[in-house]
Amino acid sequence: MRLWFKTHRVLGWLLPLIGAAILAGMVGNERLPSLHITGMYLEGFPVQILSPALAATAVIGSLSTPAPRARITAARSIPAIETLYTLAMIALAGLITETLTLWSSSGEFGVFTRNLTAMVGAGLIVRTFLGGGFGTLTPLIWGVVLLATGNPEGDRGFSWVALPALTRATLVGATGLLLLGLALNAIRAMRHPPS
Amino acid sequence: MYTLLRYARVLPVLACVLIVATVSVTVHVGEPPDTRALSLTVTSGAAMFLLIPTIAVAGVFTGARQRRFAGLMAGAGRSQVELLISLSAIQALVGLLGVVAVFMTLVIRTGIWTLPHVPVMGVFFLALVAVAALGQLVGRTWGVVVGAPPVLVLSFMLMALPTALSEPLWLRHLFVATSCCGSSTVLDPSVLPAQTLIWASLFAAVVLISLRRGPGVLKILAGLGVVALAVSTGTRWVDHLGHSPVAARTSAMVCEGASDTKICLCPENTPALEGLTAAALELEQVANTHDITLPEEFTEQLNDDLTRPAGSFYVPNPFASDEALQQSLARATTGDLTHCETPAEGYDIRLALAQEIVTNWWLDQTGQSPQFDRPPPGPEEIGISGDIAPHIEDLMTMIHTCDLGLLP
Repeated sequence: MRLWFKTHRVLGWLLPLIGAAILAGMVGNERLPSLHITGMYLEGFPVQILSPALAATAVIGSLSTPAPRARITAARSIPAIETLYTLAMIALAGLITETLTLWSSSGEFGVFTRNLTAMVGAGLIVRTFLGGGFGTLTPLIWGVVLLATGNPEGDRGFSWVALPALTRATLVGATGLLLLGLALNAIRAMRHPPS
Repeated sequence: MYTLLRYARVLPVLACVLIVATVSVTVHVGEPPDTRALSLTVTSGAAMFLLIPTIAVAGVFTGARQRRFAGLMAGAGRSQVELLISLSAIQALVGLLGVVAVFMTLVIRTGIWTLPHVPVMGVFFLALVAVAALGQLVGRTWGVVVGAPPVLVLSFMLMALPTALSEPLWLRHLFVATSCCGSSTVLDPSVLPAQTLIWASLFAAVVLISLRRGPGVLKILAGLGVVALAVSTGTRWVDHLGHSPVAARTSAMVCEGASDTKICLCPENTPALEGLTAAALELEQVANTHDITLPEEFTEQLNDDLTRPAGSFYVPNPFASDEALQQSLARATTGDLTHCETPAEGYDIRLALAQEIVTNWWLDQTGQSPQFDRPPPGPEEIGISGDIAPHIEDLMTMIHTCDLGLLP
């Protein structure tokens, strides 16, 4: 396990993960102006969208940067380690952000963790089909496209992560995405065992 | 593409010529006689804030491939800098197609058939070249998984945030302009050279860092120095600008006289002259009937400080309906309220009410519909009972002088 952590450069990826989590906890859903694709300047939630996207990128990125020997020499099954690691990273970032959110009263409790969960799920799904490079970029592409074309009211299929409060539907959506991503990732790892 | 690069020896030379030609075009920009192409091209620049991150990430993928096939490219006798310049130019040209697509959409929607304004397109091209080169550098150094996320997020934020910030104002004019001009305003002559300087310096810095010779730290420091120098110079160039990157238009107007008043339009709006002259004649008849003084000239041109002089008006569209032209002139008879604005309070709501009442009175007298869909305000709302005609002259003076003392 220690080798797995070392060869996945986990420590390097922890920095953006924790940084994004702290930023989200301190800034919350503070509104900032941003240029929209219509050419208008909208007040949106770039921090609420981009900080979980960055954290999700860090999670997928660390899964996607192993040295070959990490997979060959792993003592436990790769899908189990990756699933455990993904959930642990989400829990770590969520714990940091939600604690800071309660302390600073700057945002809604649970929004960051919901968005992180959804974006990690989406990243894992894309990673299964298109590889680590695109999987790592997926959360950020989602965030950028959302900021560029969506609005803070979450009125489009992909823009519910911009909603500043939790709803049952968005929680189910985020959890569903993560479960699907983990399942596809595990199937992929089992079908292509290290050789 | 890589096969092409291996054999097409002329590609780096072509790319260099293209980049140098672009720089020389963008820094020599004059005021065009017809601003419509300039306006549409600048508006198409809104696409840049998605194109810049896209091309930057494409550059990262290209750089990562170069890293993987380094031996192959070295075997072809190509230096890193040659590859950087050629591939960046090719990727930027592909990215520019996105701007052209937006431009074509605007042309079709507005019905103004014109070609893109070359100097503005040149700045877009340079920006795309610079970020593609930066992406290649990052991709070659760190690969896709590590390099692409920061490049994507930073290039997006560079385009989306500074242009939207209200302070400092110079920051929003340094990277891209998304709106500029019309009949009375034109892109400020300092904007394109400043943006050219910024993007060209970024490209130069990347080329410098990509050189094989010299210690890495020194090359990075030199690159950062070039960018810092360019930013400080560019900042000084655009420091005088306000929220919009515009200056007053100075091109000669085309004028035609009605009987007592003169109508002056920008060259591109001359098709509207006939309709506007007819509308001005109708206004004159109303003015003569009620013994009201009209402005001697109706003009599209603004004052040097971009405020509207009395009698200044917008031409909504050269082929607009008679009603739209009449509305524009009726609005111009009342003048502009922005010169009455105080920084803290804006202008008095009674001035705006008076202006709306007077405008609607003119429209009513010339047989047109009121200005807005909602019911027009009645004269009693500004304390006038009975017929408003005797008060029109006073109300117009009040709006011109911002003096509420003339209200009955």
